[in-house]
Amino acid sequence: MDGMQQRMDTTRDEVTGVRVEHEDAQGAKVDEMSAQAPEMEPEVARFGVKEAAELIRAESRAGGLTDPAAIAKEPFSFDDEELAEAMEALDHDEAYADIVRTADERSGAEYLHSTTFLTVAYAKLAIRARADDPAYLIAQTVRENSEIYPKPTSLEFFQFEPFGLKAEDVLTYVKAILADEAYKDIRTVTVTNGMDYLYSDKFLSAGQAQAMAQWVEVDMHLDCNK
Amino acid sequence: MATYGGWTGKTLRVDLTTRTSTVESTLDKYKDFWGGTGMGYKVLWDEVPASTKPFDPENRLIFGWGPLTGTGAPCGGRTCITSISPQHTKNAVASGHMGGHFSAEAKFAGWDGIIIQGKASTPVYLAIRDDDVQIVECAEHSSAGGKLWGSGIYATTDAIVKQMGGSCQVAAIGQAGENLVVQSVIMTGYSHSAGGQGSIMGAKNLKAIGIVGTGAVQISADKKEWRSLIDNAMALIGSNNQAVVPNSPQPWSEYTSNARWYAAKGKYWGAANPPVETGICDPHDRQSVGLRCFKSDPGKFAEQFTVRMDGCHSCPVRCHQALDVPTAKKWGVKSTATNTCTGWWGRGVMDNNKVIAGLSKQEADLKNLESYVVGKHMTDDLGLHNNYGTTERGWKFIYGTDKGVTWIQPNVPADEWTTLNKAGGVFDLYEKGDLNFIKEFGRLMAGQVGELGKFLAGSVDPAIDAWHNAAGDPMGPVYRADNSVMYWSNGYPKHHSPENGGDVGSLINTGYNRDAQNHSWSNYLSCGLPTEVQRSIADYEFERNGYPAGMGAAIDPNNTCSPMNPAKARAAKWAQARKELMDSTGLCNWMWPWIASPLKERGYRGDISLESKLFSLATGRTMNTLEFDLEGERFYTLQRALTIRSFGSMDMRNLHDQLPAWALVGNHPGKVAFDGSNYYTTPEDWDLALDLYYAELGYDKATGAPTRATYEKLGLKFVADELETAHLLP
Repeated sequence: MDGMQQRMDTTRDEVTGVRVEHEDAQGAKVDEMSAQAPEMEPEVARFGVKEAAELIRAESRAGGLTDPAAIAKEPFSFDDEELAEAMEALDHDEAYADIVRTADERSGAEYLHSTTFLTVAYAKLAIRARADDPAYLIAQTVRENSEIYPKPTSLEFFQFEPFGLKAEDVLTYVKAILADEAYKDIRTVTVTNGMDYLYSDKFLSAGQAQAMAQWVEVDMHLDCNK
Repeated sequence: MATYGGWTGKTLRVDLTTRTSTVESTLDKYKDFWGGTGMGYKVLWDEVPASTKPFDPENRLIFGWGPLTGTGAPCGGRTCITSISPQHTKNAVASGHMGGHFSAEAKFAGWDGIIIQGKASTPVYLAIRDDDVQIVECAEHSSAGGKLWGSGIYATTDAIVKQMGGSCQVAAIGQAGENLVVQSVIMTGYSHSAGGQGSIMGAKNLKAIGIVGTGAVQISADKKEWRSLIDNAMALIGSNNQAVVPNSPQPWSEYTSNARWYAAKGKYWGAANPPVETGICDPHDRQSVGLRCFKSDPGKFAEQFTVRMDGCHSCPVRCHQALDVPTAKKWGVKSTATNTCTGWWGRGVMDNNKVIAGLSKQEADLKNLESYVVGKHMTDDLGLHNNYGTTERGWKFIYGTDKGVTWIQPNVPADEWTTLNKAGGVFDLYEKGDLNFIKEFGRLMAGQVGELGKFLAGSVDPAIDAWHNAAGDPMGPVYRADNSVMYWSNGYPKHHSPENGGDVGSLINTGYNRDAQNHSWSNYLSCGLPTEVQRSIADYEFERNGYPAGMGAAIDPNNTCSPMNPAKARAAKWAQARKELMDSTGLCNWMWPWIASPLKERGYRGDISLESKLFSLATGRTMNTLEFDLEGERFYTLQRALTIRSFGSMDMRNLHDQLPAWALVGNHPGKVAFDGSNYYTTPEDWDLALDLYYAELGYDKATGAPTRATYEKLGLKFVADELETAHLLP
């Protein structure tokens, strides 16, 4: 198994030391750990905006976003007017200054999160991951990295959370991206150990991307650079 | 409350020739040249004539730390060992550094430093218990492997700890140091090594120093004030090498990077029982600081073999990886092994393609990991040093693609060549990817066996200049020009040089007599923040502390170089001064200083005044940042003077401060300087770099030698006077 994520549902082989997956008691594979909202036991008869904020914060602390629609459901059961009031309070009340809405770049759908625990930057990545358009996710993230840092992006990056893409699937998506006119600015460089990195030629030249990728993939791990 | 704290007030001097020890007053003798390198350089200047050779009894070996050692200041576990270097072509001054717990124990024992001089008539070790200092015959102490002298570092350490008690810290050499192998280390704690000084101990017949301390370090500060400053520092700390951005997307983080902050959900110390998840590690969570780094040098596969991360005294950032690899036992070594970074170098002597040939992925991964374990045990027990990758790269250079026909065969006797090539011999093991090669390699090197062993063991320049091909062409020029070897100068490789900051990195590396061991600037470039954010923070933080505006202009991203400018000269000077200060306070330059922090609410700014505040509070001797950095500048300039004296020339510009050929763009066809695709420079730009750097330091432009005015400004008038007499003053 690769070491990207060692799962709790593994045991250590006593001879080799390698961790080996095991089935749970029912014979089904144990799910990977994922952000889950903790269950909230109702302590009060009625939930209000304060409780909504706590839910959002709890979900953010666990690395997740909150769909505003969740506040309309049990146990809040806000009607439309109550939901509007709650959102108004979350937007403007100083007590909830950490609660923000971050929108999907394309659909405009908004998600709530607490910036105390989950940044806008991470929210954007998570929203891209939810959109179920891996080609867009990859290309747009590569563009962002090429512009902001600037730096090229490894293919391996998209195996991390909140993306969780499989390595072989990333390769498939990258092939599609490179053939798509909409993503014609997305290019690849190959480093001396054979690993590929992606960059946007809107922000980086091939030479720059090559130098940076070579550094992070190979050179920084050489003995003379430690 | 102590009026002058941090120091114990006592420095130990041991004369091995007379087998006596004396106590010196630290503050009487070393108040202005304090701590690890401050004191080290001063002792060498005052006591060791330029004609002294490294193995002469008159050479000094100075173990130093600083006023922050043992005080609880974060990342304060370093020992700096300064001497005339046997590695350096001209035997100039150089330091080795080791982490662990040795320096703290020495402070608890009541010592600010240990100066070793002379040579014992027979092999000895020092047994120090607080004030009690014994020089003990090695022959009177037997260890598991036989007599102490002749044992490896592991058995030596075990034996001394067994005799002196469980809290004892030991600094020891292995067989390599005993055999005067130049490429040897002094090691403490089984995995913390100071490179390049082992043979000096061997030449003095000093096997080890064992130390037990039962005291405490007194500081000048009010304890609540001290605690508050430590808390402040802990709020700003990042991960290893000042990484302030995690390596994978984390909910709390605005950025991601390739910096050494590897903790994440689903990443476990997999061999712990039960496994320990490193997790999200929000920077506001002090309890998870030790989980952040999880630097797995053998790669991701090794994570499941990690028992825990380990490290040094008072350092919450655990950068040593403790592995348990059960299948490594088949190679005759323990399955457990701990080290970090280049400490794992033994596996680098193998050709990885040969190691994994014909194996499945898992078999290959396991065998690669086993090579790390075998390599670490071989190098750390024998006490071998790799000169930051030079040994492995040099070995591959001489073995080449023709199994040594070009570079080894012409330089070894016929019978040695036959032995090297025999079935089951060294070359055969190498070709088969047999990990026993690592042990044979170590045996050759540690014992200086044959001409090959002597080549590997010795100082680089004499070795490569003495060897030749069959036509008689010398190896030296070819070796030095080969980019794969990464040679720098005077027997050392590059280490955070142009690849880390272009001209700034080159100036930092050039200024020293060995690979710079300087992370003050390179850490910041690798902290993970976007380049423009780094520049903005540097602008703010340096100006806030009294530096000229615009330090951000000194920043070149890794693997790139832009044209020289005055900010780069200031950055190089600052980085060198801070490195001296880390060596002299006892803080770790692989962590400090902190230009950045992981805190978004601070705009990711760190605080480069922290070290001066720690020093001021601990000692009671108040200094602001600029005053503190001036102390470091004094130590660095004394180092420069020592170099001039040992060279017998003040022409540092041409004899010392030159770039290797591969750093110049003209030697790379098709490459263009300063286009962001490489870190090469031009001769003209390097000349400008030296001009600006010398001007910043107050050194003479033509020679690169400090002027009298500079010496006197730094309290080094006595140096100027002596050098003037010797015609070594501009």
